Amino acid sequence: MSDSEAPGSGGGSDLPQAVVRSSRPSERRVSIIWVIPIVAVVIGAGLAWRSWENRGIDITIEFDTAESLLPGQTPVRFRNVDLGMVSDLTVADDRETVVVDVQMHVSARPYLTKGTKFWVVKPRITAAGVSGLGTLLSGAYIAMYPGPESVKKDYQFTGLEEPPSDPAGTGLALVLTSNRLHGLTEGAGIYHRGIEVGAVDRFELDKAGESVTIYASIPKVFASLVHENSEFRIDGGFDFTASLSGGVEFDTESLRALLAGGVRLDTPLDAGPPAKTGATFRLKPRTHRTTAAKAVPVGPRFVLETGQLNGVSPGNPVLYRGDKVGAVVNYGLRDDGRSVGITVAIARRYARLVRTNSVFWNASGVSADLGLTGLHIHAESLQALMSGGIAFATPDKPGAPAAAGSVFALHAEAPKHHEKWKPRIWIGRKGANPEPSAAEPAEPEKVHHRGEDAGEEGSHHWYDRLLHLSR
Amino acid sequence: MRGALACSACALLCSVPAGAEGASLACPRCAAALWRRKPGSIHKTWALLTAAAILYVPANVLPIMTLTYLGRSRRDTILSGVVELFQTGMWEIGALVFIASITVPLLKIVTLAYLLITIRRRSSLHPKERTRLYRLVEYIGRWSMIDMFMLSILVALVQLGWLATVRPGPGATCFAAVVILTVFAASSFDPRLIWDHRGGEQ
Repeated sequence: MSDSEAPGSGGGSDLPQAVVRSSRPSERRVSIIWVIPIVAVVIGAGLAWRSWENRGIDITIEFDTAESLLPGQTPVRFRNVDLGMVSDLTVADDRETVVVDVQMHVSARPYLTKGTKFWVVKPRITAAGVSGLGTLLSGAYIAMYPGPESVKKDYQFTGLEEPPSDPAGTGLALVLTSNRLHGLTEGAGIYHRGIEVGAVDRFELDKAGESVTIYASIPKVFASLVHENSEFRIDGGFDFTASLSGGVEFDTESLRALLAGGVRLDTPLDAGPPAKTGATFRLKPRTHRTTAAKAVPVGPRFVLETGQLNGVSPGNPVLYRGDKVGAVVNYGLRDDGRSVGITVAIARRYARLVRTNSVFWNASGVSADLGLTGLHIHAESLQALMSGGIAFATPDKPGAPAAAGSVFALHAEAPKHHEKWKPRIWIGRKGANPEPSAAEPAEPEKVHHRGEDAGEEGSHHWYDRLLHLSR
Repeated sequence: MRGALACSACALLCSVPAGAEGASLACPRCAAALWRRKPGSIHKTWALLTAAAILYVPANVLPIMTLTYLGRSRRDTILSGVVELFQTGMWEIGALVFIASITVPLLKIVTLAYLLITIRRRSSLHPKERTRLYRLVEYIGRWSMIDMFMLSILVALVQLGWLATVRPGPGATCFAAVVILTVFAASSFDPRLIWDHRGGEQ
């Protein structure tokens, strides 16, 4: 400090005198400073409220094993959104299960209802496919699917050991019973016309060990395909058929079905009421599609009655002028054993060709005429020659179109001069039909038209049953 | 010399005009405000200290960072981080973090509160030791920010997307606030108050 500054006048010293700014002390800031602790209280209270509000919901889930679950690291996810974290793992008092303590996020509260499902997602490699690959690096997680809303809350759950194929439960859960598993695996597909419409969830041996119960599920979109009279048939693996007529056929639904097995779902044309969840079906063994099912066209069915089967078998063609218009579905002996009935299906497009006065004959084999002019060998088609077949013709003046289910006699020989019959029958597309619609359909009384063999009492049931069996 | 004041800005020693006791004064050379004791020192220190003490709770209870590593995320509080360091064998660093981040802020709050209470009670006990305590508090305060520096470096560096990400948590904000508030509380405290009563009695 220098002496030159400030005239020394106060306090009897030579110090420079302080400048008086105001006579009032500036003490007002003191009260303002207390805003800081108030703000701190507000922030602290806010944080405390938030953490209280977001405090987790403690739930427990029981699993058979704690495999790949880690406390503090295994999250619980719903649609891949983290909603909780495994906090602790303990063995249940009965030592049979593991109790997983999970702290769920507060936002998960509405999802914790009675039917909520939990299962562990980890890498799974099965014949049906690979799943959960994403968890190889990130570790397993527990997936959840909330139960229905507005059901009472629950905080104790039992986890599922296998991922549910239909966690929402909106689809159909079906029970298939079989005497064998037929190589089905968990995840094996259920196919309808080659499209996968469901899957096998799990299977178990019944208590007596005498049959296998298979639990399958059909997602909601395909649920309408299953009717009470639907048929489930083993269709996995592959079908290998070697025959003279068809050559060698190798057939499989898909590569997946080849590995994991598959079930085919078929519903007859006159479908029954839709199946309800929990419906039980009998799982039927495999059939050779190449010989029967695949060859059967969709269309009306007729019964042919004959004294001798003469090598006709399911899948054989039904020929009209040598063109295949239908196929043999099945056959059966009449109750009294006097004749054999053959069910044939005619493609819908060709159904009009069958008239009340049509004549059916067995076209199997070769007919040979040995005469003066030489040897005439006659066969309808190569396939018919090899494996048998049925042909029919309609006279020049066709009768009314035969109703589905009509019964005809099957002749052993072709009618004379049938090649010369040239009836005009329109089989074109609908709408391009010049025939008067009044001519069809035939009245119900004409259903049991049997050609030259007059109808006999008691045979109606047999025809009906045969037709029914063919489905 | 009871009538003289030193300017806190330019250290000019000046005299107080007669009858201007308790008035608002200014330095004749640099025009900085002059005071005998820091105005409202006790109030300010108490206020800042209270705020620091309140925020000390969430700073230690809430997570200071969230580490997301390969899809798993873990939230760490200061204490859980220390425990983790001890468990992984890095007990030196753990001890450092524990002292710098948990003990020091707490000691600062307690020490300042002790000093304020002794002044309030007009205690004349060990003024020299108490002043030394104050100097220690003021000196040590800056080191509490180690955690915050660590965290800011981590947050900036560990942004590897899906592999690993570090994000600060609400605890970090509270902790930074505690450190800043205690530093301000220490600087608003006037150590000369410790000597006032001793001086008054003499």
